[in-house]
Amino acid sequence: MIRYACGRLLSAVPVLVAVATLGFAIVEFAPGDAVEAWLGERAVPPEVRASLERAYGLHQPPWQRYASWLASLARGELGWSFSRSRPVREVLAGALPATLWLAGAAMLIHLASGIAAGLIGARFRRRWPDHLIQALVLTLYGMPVFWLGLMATLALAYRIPLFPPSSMFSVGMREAALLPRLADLLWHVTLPAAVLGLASTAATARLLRGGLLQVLGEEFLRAARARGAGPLRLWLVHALRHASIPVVHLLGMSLPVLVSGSLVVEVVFAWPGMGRLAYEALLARDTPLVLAATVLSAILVVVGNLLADVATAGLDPRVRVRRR
Amino acid sequence: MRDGRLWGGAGFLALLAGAALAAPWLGLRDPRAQLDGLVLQARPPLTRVDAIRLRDGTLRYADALAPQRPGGGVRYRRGERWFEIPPEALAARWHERHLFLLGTDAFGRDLASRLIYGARVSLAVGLLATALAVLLGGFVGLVAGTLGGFVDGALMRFVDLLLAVPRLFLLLLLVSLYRPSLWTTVLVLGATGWMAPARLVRAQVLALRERDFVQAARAGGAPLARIALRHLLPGALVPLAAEATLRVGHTMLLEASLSFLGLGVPPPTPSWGAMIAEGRDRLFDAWWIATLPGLAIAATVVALSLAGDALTERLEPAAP
Repeated sequence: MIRYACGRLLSAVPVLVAVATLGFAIVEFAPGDAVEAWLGERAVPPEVRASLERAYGLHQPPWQRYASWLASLARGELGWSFSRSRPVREVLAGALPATLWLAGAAMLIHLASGIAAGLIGARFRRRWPDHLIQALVLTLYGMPVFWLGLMATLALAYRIPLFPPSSMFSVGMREAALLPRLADLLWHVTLPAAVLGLASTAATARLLRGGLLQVLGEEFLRAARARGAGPLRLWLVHALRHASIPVVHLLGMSLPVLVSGSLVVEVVFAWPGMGRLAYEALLARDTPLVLAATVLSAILVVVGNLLADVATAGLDPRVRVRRR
Repeated sequence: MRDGRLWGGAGFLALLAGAALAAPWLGLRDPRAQLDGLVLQARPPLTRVDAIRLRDGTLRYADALAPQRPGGGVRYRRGERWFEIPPEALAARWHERHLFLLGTDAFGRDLASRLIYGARVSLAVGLLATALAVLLGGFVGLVAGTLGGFVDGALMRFVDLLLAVPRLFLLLLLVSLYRPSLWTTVLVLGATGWMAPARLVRAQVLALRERDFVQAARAGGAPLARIALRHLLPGALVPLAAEATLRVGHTMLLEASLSFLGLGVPPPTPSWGAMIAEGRDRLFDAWWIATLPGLAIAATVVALSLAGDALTERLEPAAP
């Protein structure tokens, strides 16, 4: 199992190098650079521009910048953020926990709602609870996630002020003791995470419902029933475990969607995470920061896929045996 | 039930597409015109506004009218101030009441006509970008599946690579390449959406390749391109069509995200995502500006999903 995970981790390295190369190429081909974005329409003497370019390392040819960027990336140095005037690593390290909190909480809500919807759909197949849940889940899928965020803010933060409308902590809570700070964080993360998690329930619920319906006729369920397993155990342990194998795979696959969605949700809720950081960096043409954020988001996706594969191996004894 | 979903979804889409196509002939107000930045600023749905028709045909919107005086002039209020129009400038039947069915936005533009004109942009981008993605992906999948071997391996590794980057990050990176425009949005959405269709077509082709009729054609010495186009492609078209229907909705959602971030079709062209972004600043005092375009997107995507699902089930009767 561990050897399998390590092997998968190693095979992710070329993918990440390729992502880095792709990102660098795209940014390199874009017209304009950080100096232009910073100067805007202002007219400056050419020697000022040249010294700025030298300060940012933009006077070197592209391949040289690419090589040195890749080399420093391998050493874990991500360069200097023009727009924040701080090392990229510091900026990203500040934003990564926020994104992980948001994405993690969203994943939990996504899982809970997906499993509930799938179970209800399969248990009441083609009866009104099934239709109701399917309609609900489909409507949530159809809504743009940022709009859902705005509507949630309007309803649950403004009209009925249950949750804070934006940001990660209340004023002064960032320095508070651990427990009150955690409570404040959970209170702030609920609304954005619910929006992000519920918006993508549809695929999971549908896959789980289909999987459960398929499993219900299988021999091993009849065997479990014959051994005297109650309906609760039958559904929640035997059927769900079997039907969740493709779902875990799907969760890994849907990670990019979650990270993409977290970008707009972070913008809507002023959440100080990586997505908003990347967006602001892009507007400022802060190339090192944009690239680092893109590579980091790809790392998140690759690690997520890895976890999904390992979890699949854990759930499905057949996979474990085959790979041993 | 199944047919209900198909025809319900398709009917809604046909209605929407019809309205969008016929928009210039529906007698709508100009979607870009800021009719009256003061009187018509952020009016709720179903607002009726007094309007004064002038002799030259132009309109003046009024918050209130004073009773007409014996001299025949009309006094009306805009905001805090009163204005007067002399009798000789008035049209014969000068008093009109104008209905704004869905209200107006923060700049005094008619939301109903912006929604319908916005449908043109959102639908066009969704359809064109999906068509581009399906063409591109179909080609790549066909080539990879037909040739196999090294080409297949290289193309599929490239697909894996692109799928590892969250699509919105990729979109934002690409959008920054060009100045935002309708065609930029279409190109960028098409260029980042072809991976899933490519995988689908490749899988179909791989399954078909071992079938007898393909083997027979190959044994008969048919050129590879002919086998690909005449024998492999037709078998992949049907699932591809169902997939494409579902993807249009997904593409429209992405377009909305791009427009919301200010990187889609540039203003003042109305697009649903940009309209939501414009309504964001007035969310708490004029909820309808952001709410209505979101409802329009949701309804359209749901209709597309219903039609696409029903289509898929029709083609594969075994689905649960």
